[in-house]
Amino acid sequence: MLKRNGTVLWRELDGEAVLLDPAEGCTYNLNRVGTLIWKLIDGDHAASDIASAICQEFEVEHEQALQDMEHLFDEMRQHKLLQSDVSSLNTIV
Amino acid sequence: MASGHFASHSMRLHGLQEQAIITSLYIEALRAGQPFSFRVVSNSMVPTLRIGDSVYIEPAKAKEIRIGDIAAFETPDGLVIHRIVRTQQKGTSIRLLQMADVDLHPSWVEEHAIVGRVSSARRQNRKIHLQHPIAQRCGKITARLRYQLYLWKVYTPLRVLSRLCSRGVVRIGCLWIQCCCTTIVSPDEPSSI
Repeated sequence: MLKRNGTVLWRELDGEAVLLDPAEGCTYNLNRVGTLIWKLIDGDHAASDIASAICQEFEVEHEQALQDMEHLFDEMRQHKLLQSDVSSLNTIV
Repeated sequence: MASGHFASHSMRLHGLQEQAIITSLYIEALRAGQPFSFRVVSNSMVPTLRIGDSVYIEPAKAKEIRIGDIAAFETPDGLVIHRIVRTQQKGTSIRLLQMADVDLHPSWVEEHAIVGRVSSARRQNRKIHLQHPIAQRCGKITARLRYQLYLWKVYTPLRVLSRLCSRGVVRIGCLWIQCCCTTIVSPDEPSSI
């Protein structure tokens, strides 16, 4: 299961998350879709569950949501925002 | 939804917007024991620290802060880093008198507001080690002298003289620190090292 990096602090402001990685000294901003994903990558939700939640909340096809999620997860991995033991999206769909 | 929607728009590095929430996250990190680097956005500690310098702040409690240290503390306006010029035991708690390096206007900081201490600063390729023994000694002397100058400032005829002396004290202290406690670092080196 995908999981947030526990050392990353975050807060929600008007539906959008602000993330702080103290170790890197970097802050990030997630839009509403990204924030929904961020909230659901808690180790309890599979990627397909998250994609379904996105489809319910926003007008998007399931496959498209999965594809876009993978792009976001790639970026999050690059910035060390996910737990390091998380493998690729394909293994958990 | 266009392909790559999340990747292209949902995640970006922050600017100065939402500074308040970011500052509160930094304070939360410090309170959780996590050190971090922070960009200086004010000239209140010139010449020791200038706008754009990167300061490395370590978590510290009020009781661990010494006179002369540059403490990080929480205020209604956000996170502030100023020099501590005096400490006062008040019952079981302690409070610290802080003063910027550019003026002689001290104010008390309560124990609970203290979140950390600046241990080093980085300006371009130079790193200033503020916890170096010489830097600590210079900081302490600077703080004590400036507190005395603040007391003299009460007498109107000495006000201008106090201010001039205060600037001189800060500059001399800073010069010593820069001469004795500065190392050259590569641009790629993390500021925490």
